Amino acid sequence: MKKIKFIMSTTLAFALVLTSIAILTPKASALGLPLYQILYSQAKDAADQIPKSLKNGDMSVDLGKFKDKHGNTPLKKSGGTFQNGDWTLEPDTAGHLGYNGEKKVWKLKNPRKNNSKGRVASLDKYGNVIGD
Amino acid sequence: MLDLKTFEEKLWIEPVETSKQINEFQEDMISIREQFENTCPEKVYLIDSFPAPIRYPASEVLEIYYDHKQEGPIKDGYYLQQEERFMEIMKRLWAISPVFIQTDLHTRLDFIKVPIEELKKNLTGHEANLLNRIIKETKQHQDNLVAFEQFEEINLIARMSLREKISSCFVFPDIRVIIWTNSLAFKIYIYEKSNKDLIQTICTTHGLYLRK
Repeated sequence: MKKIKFIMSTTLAFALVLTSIAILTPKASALGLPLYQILYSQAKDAADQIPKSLKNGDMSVDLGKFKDKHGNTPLKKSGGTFQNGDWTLEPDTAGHLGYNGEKKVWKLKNPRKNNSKGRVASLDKYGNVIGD
Repeated sequence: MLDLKTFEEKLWIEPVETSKQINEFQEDMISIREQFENTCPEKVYLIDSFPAPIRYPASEVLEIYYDHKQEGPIKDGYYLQQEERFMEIMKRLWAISPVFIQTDLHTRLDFIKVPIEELKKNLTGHEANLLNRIIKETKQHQDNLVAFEQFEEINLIARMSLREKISSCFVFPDIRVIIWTNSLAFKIYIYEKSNKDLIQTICTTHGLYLRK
């Protein structure tokens, strides 16, 4: 009888340990989601600083609204500086990666503003805001 | 249609006049970078502080660029250390070849209407005077290549470009190299394969990477 009790209690303890490990160990998806949300929110903060008139979505800049001194848009060519009002789009040549895994291709700035802070947002080739 | 091969062959011999010829194609030496990258991708590299593009989220922490928000002369020692490495590359190339430079200074002042005070922000009094002189001397050339002989002028243009104030293109005809910069990185076109090893050595010696 003692032997049966010992086996039952050992099995129960082992099951409890396994359950605790399962509960306490975070799953990859559970870790990934909050991290993605943090990264997304940083890009969202940058996107929120951009006037709606330059965007074609909450997180996307309309590249067709910028023109160089010849009237070309970034949709046609990627060299040079493009402008819309106080805002400019300039190539980002280093090509580091944004939150969505795409390369940063454009730097959005407002250089005419007094005490300009330089880069406001980094965009991928489609115009998506992928970092500040 | 611009024939890049013919253009390039003439560029090394007669940089200033050749650079003007592409204006009719709505191109200049800054905007033509895209065509070099598309036509000869095997000859275009990046000189960078990192050996590969930085992954996210590390890019948010590690990417080095000039802080426009600060007031007065720059005090960020780490940024200045990195900037100095790029300037050493520029010095080594200038030691080998004369340099012809195109900036977008006049496009910024006349087309984008950036106040000159914004361009001069964080410059010393001497640098601000030097910038005035460069603007005046390059006015007639607008945004085309100009030969620069004074290193203090080359130094100022390069540093303002590394600090993202302006965009510039540097042509070194004797070694057939073109550099484009508008941030703390150099996009570089190396015409002769034999010069790649030399530039790789210069970069490695000064703590930078020549990478794709």
